[in-house]
Amino acid sequence: MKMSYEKSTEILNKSCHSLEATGAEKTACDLSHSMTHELNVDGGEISLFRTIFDTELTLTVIKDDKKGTMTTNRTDEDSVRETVRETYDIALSSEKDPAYDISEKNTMRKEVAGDGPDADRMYERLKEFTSDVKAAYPSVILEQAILDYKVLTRHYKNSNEADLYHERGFYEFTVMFSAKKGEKSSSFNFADVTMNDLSHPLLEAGGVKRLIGEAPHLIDTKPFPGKCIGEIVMTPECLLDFIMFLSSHLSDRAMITGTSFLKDALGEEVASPLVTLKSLPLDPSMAGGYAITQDGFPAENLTLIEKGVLKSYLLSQYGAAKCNRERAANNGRFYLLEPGRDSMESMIRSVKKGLLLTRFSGGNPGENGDFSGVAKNSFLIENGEIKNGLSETMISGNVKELFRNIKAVSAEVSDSGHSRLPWALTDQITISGK
Amino acid sequence: MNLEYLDKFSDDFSEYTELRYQKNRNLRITLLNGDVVANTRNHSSGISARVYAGGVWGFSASPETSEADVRSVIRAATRNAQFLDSRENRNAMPLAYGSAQGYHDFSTIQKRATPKEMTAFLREIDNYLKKSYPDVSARSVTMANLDMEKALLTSEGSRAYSMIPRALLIVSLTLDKGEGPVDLYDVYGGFGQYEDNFGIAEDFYERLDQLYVKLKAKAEGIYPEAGEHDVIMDADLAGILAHEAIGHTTEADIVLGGSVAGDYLNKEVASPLISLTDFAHTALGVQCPVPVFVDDEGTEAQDVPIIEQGILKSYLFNKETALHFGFAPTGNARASEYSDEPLIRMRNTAILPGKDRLEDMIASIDHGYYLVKASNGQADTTSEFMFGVVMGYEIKNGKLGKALRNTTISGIAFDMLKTVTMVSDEMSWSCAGMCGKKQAIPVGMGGPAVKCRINIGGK
Repeated sequence: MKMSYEKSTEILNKSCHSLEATGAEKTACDLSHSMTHELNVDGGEISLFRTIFDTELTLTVIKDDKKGTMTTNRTDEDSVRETVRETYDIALSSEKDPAYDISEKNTMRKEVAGDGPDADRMYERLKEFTSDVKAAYPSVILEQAILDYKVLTRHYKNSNEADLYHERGFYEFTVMFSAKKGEKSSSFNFADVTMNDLSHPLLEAGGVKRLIGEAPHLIDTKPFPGKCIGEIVMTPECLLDFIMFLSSHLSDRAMITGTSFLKDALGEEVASPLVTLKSLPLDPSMAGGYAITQDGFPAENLTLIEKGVLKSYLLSQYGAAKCNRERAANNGRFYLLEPGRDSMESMIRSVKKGLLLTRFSGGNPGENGDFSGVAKNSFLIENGEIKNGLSETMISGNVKELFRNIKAVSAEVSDSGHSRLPWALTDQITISGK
Repeated sequence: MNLEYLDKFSDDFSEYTELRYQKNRNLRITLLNGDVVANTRNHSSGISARVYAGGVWGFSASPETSEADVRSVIRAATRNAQFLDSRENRNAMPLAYGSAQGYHDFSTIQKRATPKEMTAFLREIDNYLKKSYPDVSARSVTMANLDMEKALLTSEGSRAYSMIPRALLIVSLTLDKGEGPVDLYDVYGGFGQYEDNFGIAEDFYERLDQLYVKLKAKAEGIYPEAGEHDVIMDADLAGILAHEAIGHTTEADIVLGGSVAGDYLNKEVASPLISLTDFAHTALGVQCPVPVFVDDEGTEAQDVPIIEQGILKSYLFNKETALHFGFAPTGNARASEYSDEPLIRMRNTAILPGKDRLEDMIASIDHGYYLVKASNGQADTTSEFMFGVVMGYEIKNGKLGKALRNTTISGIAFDMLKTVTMVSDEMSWSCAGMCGKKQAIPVGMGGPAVKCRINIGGK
């Protein structure tokens, strides 16, 4: 059973009263509950059905500018009392920082009912998916696929009279696959989508069909010929990886330590004018989006970069206080990059020598933004045409420069439910093969 | 929760059933440039049941553990298995592999430290860094501890309890000499609780000095020349290679999913100098970083010699894949949280030491690289891998030269291992390995230094 609003209110009220009784100046209680129904495919066959219930109660105490936080998944009275005591002890053991704070007074109650769980419907869709893949792509092996329906509730209250409640239900589908012919096989790849309902076949969701369809063409691969400074066309999936790298430089850790390469760039051009990047957790078409920030504020949609100009960081209340900047309207993710005017076909036609980069498998970029890694599930582009699949091909560059050098953004977008992104062409990437 | 409590429910099992109680206690304290930016504890506990019926599985989990809740979880898992069984109709053989018993509690026997003492220890470390290295522009000091406690009862008669702790101190330093920040980290501690690993800050000063010296060298370092080179991969990288690039391809579920290792059993996959084992709990007479005695399906954990002198000898099995391939289960089924089902996981995977001295290995290379520390690693079913390298040195005319900036190495592991020409006579374990296959779980990774040919990124 999902946790009702009344039940979460009862648990939070008890927790809040117990926290306030400690004499701490500022306290917060954050209760999350999840109900998951999940079907698993292993080795191409539906093999496991899971139902899981979980609860997470996070208590925060700020006493004399010292902060302690503790999370438990037990909400009975004895456990809550013990957690309150431990949280208070943790706070006392901590050190003073005037930047510690809790969110202001706010009230919100938002419920977005999903259409599940319906185990029969989920089973039918997953069975249809495995059959569709077998029929259309016989060389493809479904290593694993997971379809789940989640109902998540989050209820946040604090001593400033903030009282925020959000419930949402949505489906998630992830699939990991490769293609095999004789002893040869492609690299594995994966696709993940979120959905508000199961009205369409899973193969048609987001980039699932495109990515699975490419796998048979990646069984026979060759290394990139030689080494060059070239262009890459990033798929939406790959672009999301680089957006995540970029967003880490807009967030607390890099900003507080001053190691972000974007630390003084607010209002400045940090990307090509073709780049407008938004984080839209409240967009109804973004399934599973959040309405409450991690630090207990109502979330808002946010424009991070507009026509290449940095408009906002992703700072929490604490990060904003430490950096003397404004708190961000949300915590990022659920990204939309505005589509451009070029067709994907024309973008590829414009590349003399480069890659269609589907997946980047690399080390985390250094603090200066330098990255290097392997081009996985990718294709050689030569004289405007997609040629063979690639193996043993490495790329390196700099995240900051990668966004500055974007020369074209496609009109086509891939909607994965948790992001809506186009293809993008960038250059000045070192490509090395054999 | 003790095993006697679980015994109460054995009469509720109507099919093959695993009933597991698990509690994970996480602690995390982080000082970022001296500020306590995290001071959190996370206790996650609950009960789960997994039921096998006719070749399919049902699973259910709940944080509530009253007798009524436990019975409800068993019923839900049984219903889920029957739901799938009625639709899939596989009529598979039962999983009958006997039982195992075990009781392994590695809780510290020392007086427990208070939160205040732990924070004071980190403060001492941070103060030392701040005072000793004023040119460091950013420093992060983190304590990350995990106690994993499990009690298991199965319908086949297995009863096992374990409490496996790990305590880590992670220090990261950043230096900015005007050419962009350069960072380096190291991890200390490992198996055991805080009290078994930490307490006296001074004990770590020498190792912190070494970290700073390496960072200084890295800040003045060079980017390697992109392309294929002779390299020496030190223990840290050999361990991650053993785990990511070889170990995963030999997990029987990945083999069924199309892994290239599926075609290599009993074939030559590496130089005869290479032997690689997934150890259960003890390696070469010493306890491993993540000891497993009875796995989460109730199988006694066995060492698995994956590669012996270059020949691929075995895969890693749980009960179901053992039945499929006609082998015995190896005790590799492990779950990360109470709400996770057991998956085939490595335990402590290592390349075994050889006979060469590291000095001789370095001296044997005219132009190449000595790669010392990895950041992350990824590999796929073809055994093509990528590892981030955050510390290394160039080798010129048999001698170590300048340090390296961050780079990446890649290759096809089963091809690369055939190029191995020297293996050092000493091995060491990484103390902080985490494997991210569906569920993040601690693993041990280790090895000696290995000389091979490898593709290196760069500029």
